[in-house]
Amino acid sequence: MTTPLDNRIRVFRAEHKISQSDLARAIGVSRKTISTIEVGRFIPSTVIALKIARYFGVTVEDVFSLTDQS
Amino acid sequence: MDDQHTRAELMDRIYTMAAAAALPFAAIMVLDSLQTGAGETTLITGLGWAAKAVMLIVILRGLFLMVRKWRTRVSHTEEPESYSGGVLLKAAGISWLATIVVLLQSHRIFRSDGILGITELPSTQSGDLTAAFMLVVFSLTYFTMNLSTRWAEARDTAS
Repeated sequence: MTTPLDNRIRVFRAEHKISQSDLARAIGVSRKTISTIEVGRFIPSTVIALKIARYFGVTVEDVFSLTDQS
Repeated sequence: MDDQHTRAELMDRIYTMAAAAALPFAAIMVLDSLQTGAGETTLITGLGWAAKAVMLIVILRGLFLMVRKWRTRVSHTEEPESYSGGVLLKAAGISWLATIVVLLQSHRIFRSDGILGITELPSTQSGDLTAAFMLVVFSLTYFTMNLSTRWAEARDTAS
């Protein structure tokens, strides 16, 4: 089952040339948590979403969007 | 954030250990019930010792991980958010619901001419079997949900 939340974490990771483990270490969560957010299995809390966005230097809306927005 | 990350990884492994520990614990309860009901046989005794050995290994591993977790310099009130933690809670909820259903149907399961087709069980044995059922459902749900996530990750990586 996937969540109704799209994300561009993989795109941003590729741009910054970092692995899931690097991102997990940077924001203080486990690699599995990042990987499950990326594949849409896990909806992160606002705090985690903000940390991810801050890490990439973008807004939360740049990283996450609702699936039915398209 | 490195300590927080280490703590998050350790927490995930502790959750997995907790789910893994449920299986040998359930086996010990079932084997104890069998021993009470069917008497002591070499097979049941052997399986009982094997389950206890597995349980001991899992507990020692879990304690080792907990000590490592406590040694991280992270505030204990600041538990890292974790997918595995959420799955563990879901598995616990599902196992409770499944057990309530079993308890509601216990008169059909554990009594004579019931689903198991056995004579009426003493309350201690039916209690042990119900608890073992809950632990098995808890553990299997946790690992099934994790496995399906792993497949989703593999599919996503392949695409």
